[in-house]
Amino acid sequence: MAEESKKKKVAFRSFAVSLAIAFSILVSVSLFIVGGVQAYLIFFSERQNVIDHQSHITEAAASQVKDFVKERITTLETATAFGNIIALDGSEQERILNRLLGIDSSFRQIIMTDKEGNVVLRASRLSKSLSAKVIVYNKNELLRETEKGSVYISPVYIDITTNEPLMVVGIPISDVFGDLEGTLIGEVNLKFTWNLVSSIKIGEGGFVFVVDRNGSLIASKDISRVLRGEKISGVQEIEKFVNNFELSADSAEVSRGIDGTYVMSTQIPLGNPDWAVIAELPLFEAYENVFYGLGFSALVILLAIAFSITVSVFLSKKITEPISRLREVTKKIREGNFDAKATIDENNEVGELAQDFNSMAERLRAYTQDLEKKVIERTGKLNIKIRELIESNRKLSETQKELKEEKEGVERKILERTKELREEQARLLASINSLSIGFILADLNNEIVLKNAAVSRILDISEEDVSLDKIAGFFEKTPDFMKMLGDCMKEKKVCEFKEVESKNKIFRIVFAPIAINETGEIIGYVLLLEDVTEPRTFERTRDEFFLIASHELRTPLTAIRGNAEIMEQFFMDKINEAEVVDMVEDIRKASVRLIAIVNDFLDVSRIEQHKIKLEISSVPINKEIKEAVKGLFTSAEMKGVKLIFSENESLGNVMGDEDRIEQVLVNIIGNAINYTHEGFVKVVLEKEGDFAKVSVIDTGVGIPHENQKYLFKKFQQAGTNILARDVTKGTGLGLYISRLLVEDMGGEIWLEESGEGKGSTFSFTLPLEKK
Amino acid sequence: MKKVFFIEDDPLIIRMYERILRLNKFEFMISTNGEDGLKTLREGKFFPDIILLDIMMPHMNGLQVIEELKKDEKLSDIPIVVLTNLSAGEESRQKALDLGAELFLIKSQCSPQKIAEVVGSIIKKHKK
Repeated sequence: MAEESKKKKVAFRSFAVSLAIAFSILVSVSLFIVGGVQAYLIFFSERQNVIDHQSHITEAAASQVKDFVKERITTLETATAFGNIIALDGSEQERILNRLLGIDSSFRQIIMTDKEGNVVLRASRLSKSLSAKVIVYNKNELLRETEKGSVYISPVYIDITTNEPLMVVGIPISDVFGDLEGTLIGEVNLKFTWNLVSSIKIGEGGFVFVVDRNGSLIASKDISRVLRGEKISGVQEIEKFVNNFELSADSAEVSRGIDGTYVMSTQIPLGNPDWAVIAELPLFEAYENVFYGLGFSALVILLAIAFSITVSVFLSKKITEPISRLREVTKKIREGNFDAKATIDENNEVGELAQDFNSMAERLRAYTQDLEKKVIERTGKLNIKIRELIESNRKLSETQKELKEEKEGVERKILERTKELREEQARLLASINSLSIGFILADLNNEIVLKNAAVSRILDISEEDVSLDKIAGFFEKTPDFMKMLGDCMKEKKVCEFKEVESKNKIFRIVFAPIAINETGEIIGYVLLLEDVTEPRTFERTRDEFFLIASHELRTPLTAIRGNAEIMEQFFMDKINEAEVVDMVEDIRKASVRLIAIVNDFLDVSRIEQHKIKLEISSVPINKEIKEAVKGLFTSAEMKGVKLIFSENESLGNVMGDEDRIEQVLVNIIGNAINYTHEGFVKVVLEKEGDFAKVSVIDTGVGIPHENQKYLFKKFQQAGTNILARDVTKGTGLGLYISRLLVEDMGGEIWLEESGEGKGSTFSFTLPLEKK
Repeated sequence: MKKVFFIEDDPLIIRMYERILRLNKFEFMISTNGEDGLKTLREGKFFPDIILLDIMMPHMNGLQVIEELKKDEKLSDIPIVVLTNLSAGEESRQKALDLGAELFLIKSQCSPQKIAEVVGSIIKKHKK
C-alpha cells in the first residue's frame, strides 16, 4: 500500500499554467516589496508633519495660558509699583484693591496681609461672610516666596459652590529698602482660561486641555468635566506629567486619550504655574493622509498585478503552444498514426526539436513497416513448425502411453517389494523395540539410522534428542567415548565397557562395527546401552554387607578366643578338673578355626573383587620360607611329622607382597602337615627361568585322581559329595585364595604330582627381582 | 608403672583387654568412644605411655582420633597401637600408619597376652 501511494502519479498540470503562475508570483512579489517600502516612507514623513503641526499648536496654547497668568501678576504688580501700600491709610488701600477688582474681572478677591501674613484688608466680589472661607492658600509658602521677592502661585482648587477652578497669586509689598512689609494676594478665577483653551483647534477633531500636577483638569473644551473637578487618570501623557517624567514638545505619542479613544498627543509643561498643556488629535485624523496615500498605493499595486497576470498568461501560452502541438503529434504517433507531422515554423530550440521529431517519426514508420513484413514471413514459417510439432506431439503421447503402462507394471512390483520390506522392517523394529537394552544403529557419519525406545528411557532424554553427540555428552566422565568407538571401528572388533558411570547410574555399553560380508567394509555400527545400575549396586551392597558381617563376626570370636587363651595362660592352676581344661582348649581351638574361616571368606570376596591392594616389593624368598617353616614347626612336630626346608640363599629376592607370600606358604605347608600323618614335609626352593619355584613335598594321604580337578577351585573339598567334606580341614578356600594371590603377583600354582597314598607335591612360582 | 589408655566401644573386648592388662600389672584407663577419649587426654587427667585404639567406633572413628591426637602438641608423641578387627590390607591399615600409628594389629589374630607383650615392648622402646 505504502509503495503504491508513493508511486501515485502527480496530477497533470499544464506547463503553461505553471509558467503563468510563476510569472504572476514574481511580479506580484516585486510590486508588494516596492509598495511596502513606499508606504513605510509615506507613513514616517506624514507622521513627522502631523507631530510638527501639533507641537506648534500646543506651544501656542501653552504660551497663551502662561500669558494669562502673567497678566494677572502684572496687574497685581501695578498696585505695588508705587511703593509700600501698607503704609497708606485704610480708605486709600480699599480704593486700590477695589480698583484692581475693577480692572480685571478674573480676580474674585484681592487680599492684603501684613508681613506676618495676617489679613489686613479684603476686597471681594462675593458677600463678605462667604468669601472669607473660600480663599485657599498656604500662608508659609506665601511668606517664603514673597520674602525672597518672588511671586507665590498656589495650587488650583475648586470652589465648592460654583465648582470653578481657582488659584491664588501672591506678590510681595516692599518698602523703599526692599524689605517685606506685607503681601498682596489675588484669587484668580481660572474659568477665564476656558474660552482661551476651547477656542484652540487642531485639524477637525483635535483639541487642547490644561492639567495641574495633581492631574486635575483646569481647562478643557468639555467644561462639565472641569466643573466636576475631575482628576484624570489612565491617560499616558497626564500620568507622565504627574509623575515628573522628562517631557518635550517634539515627541508625540499614540495612546489612549482623555476621551478614551486612541489619539496622537503632545504636551508641554508650563513651568510656572506648574501646569501642562496637552494637545490630542484623533488617530484617524492624524494619519488621514497616510491612509489616503496607502490606499492609493494599494490600488496601483492591484492594478499592476492584474495586468501582470494577464501578460503572464499570454506569454506562457505563447511559449508553450509549440510544445503542446508537439505533444498532440506524439499522441497521434503513439496511437499508430505515423503520418502525423509537427509543423512549427520557428527558428529556435522548439523548431529544431520539431524537425528532429519529424525525422524520428519517419524512421519509426520505416522500421515499423519492415517489422511488419518480417512478422508476416515468420508467422508463415511458424505455422509450418506448429503443424510439425502437433504431429510429433501426437507420436509422443502414444509413446507416453506405452511408457505409462510399463511404469505402472514396475510400480506395482516396487509396491509389492516395498510392502515386503516394510513388513520385514516392522518385524525387525518390533524385535528391536521389544529389547530392554538400548539399541542404536548408526552410519559412519554418526547419524542414527535406527534406534529403539529403550535408548531414551535408559538415558532419560526425550526421543527426539537422541543423537550420538548427546550420548557422548551423557558419558562426560568418559571423555574419550567417541575416540574409544573410533578405535573399535579401526580394529573392526566388538568392544564392551562393563561399567560406565554417569549421573549416578552405571551402564554397560557394547559397541559393534557392522561390516558388509563380501568386502569386510565397515558401513556403520551398532551401539547397545544397558542400565546395570541395579545389579552393580546390589553387588556393592553385598560387598559392604560382607565386610561388616565379617567384622561383626570376628569381634565376639575374638572375645571367645582371647578369654580362652587368658584362661589357659593364667587360670589353669585354678581349674581342678582336667575335663574343664580340655573344654577350654576346645573352645580356643574352635574359635581360632572359626576366625580362620571368616578370614578366608573375607579374603576370597576381596581378592575376587580386587579389593586387596598388593604391596609389591622385593622379598628375600629364602628368609620368608625359613620364617614360615619356623612358625609351623611346632604343629608339625606335635603330629610327629618332620618339616624340612632345603635352603637356597643364592636365589635372591622375588617381587611380591610379603604378607601374602607368607599366607600362601603357611597355607600350602600347613595343608601338607595336616594331610600327613607320618613321614615328612619338605620344602624346596629353586630357580626356574625368571622365576623362583617353591615346591612342598609331603608323604601324606595324597589326592585321588578324580578329585584333583577340584583343587584350586572355590570350596575344592566339596568334590562330588558335600557330605564327604573333611570338616576338620577348614573351609577349603585356602588353595583357591593361594591361587588368586600367586596369580595376582604374576606367578603360577599347581599340583605337581599326587596319587592316593603316595603323597603330594604342590608348587608355585613368583617372579624374581630383575637385576 | 606403665600407663595404658584404651579406646574401644565393644564391652566384650573391653573386659577381655582389661583383664590381660590387669594381669600384666599395667595401669590403665578406658574410654568407650573417641570423643570421650580425646577429652580425657586433652584435659590431662591421665597421661598414658601408650594408646590402644579401635577403628570401627560410632561417631568418631579411630582414624579421626589419630588425626586429632597428632595435631595436639602434648599428645602427639604418645605411641598409638591400632587394634581392630578390620582386615589387614584394607586402606584403613595404610592410612593409620600414614597418620602416625605405631602398629596396626588384628584383634582376632593376636592372643591378648601377645598384645600385652607388644604394648610392653613399645613402651620400653619409647622410654629409652
